Amino acid sequence: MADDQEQQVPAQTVEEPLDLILLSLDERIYVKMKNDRELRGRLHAFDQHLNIVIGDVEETVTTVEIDEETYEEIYKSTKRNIPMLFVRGDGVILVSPPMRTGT
Amino acid sequence: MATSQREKFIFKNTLLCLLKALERKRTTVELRNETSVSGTIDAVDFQMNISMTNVVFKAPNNKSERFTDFFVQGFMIRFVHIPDFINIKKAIEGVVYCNDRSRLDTKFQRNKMNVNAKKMERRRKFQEKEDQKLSSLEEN
Repeated sequence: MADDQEQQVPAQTVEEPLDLILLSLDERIYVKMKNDRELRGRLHAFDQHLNIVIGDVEETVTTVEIDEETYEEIYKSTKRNIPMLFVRGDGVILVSPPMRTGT
Repeated sequence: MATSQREKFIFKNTLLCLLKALERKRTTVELRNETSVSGTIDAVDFQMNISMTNVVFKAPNNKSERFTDFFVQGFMIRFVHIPDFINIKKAIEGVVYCNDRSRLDTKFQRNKMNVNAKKMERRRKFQEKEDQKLSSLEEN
């Protein structure tokens, strides 16, 4: 019988954009979200709304503060670890394999 | 209120099935306005609206408030924490492959639980009466 929808073997041809995400199932991914948030973790499931189930995830929230005297922008980021998270699709901007910093 | 065809379709074809399987479990829901709600999920509907009980509501200034009942609008949700004890594959299969109404229709499910509870109660009382009769017969 047909496998559960999330357990499908990825098709050989990439036909639609969501197939690109299908290729990253069970791999580590980088998710950029609204409000300057980023998630890095293992992709367990997703659907057509881009609701995502992500495991071993590290959430990074980036804030910009402006120094009163020098008017320079100070970038601060807060990190948080969550074992398993369901992300509502309307907050997701993009999904990609993890970025290599410094390359 | 029966689950409409549209609701059933949405539960069986999107990841909402996982949230549906979280009913009656304790989790934390984080909202778009930087607040978090920790409590027992009572019901999830096809628009991701979640009603919860025994809730601790945390504001951005870290102040907590307790509520017995809480309702979260679906579009306000940013994250839902999935508890460690949930087997995701089994939870999704339980919702997607079920053919009867009980797992998709919260009110129907609750009614069923109440009816079963009443049946058990009636059976227990009947059994007690029978035992009393037997013991009074033995005495005589």
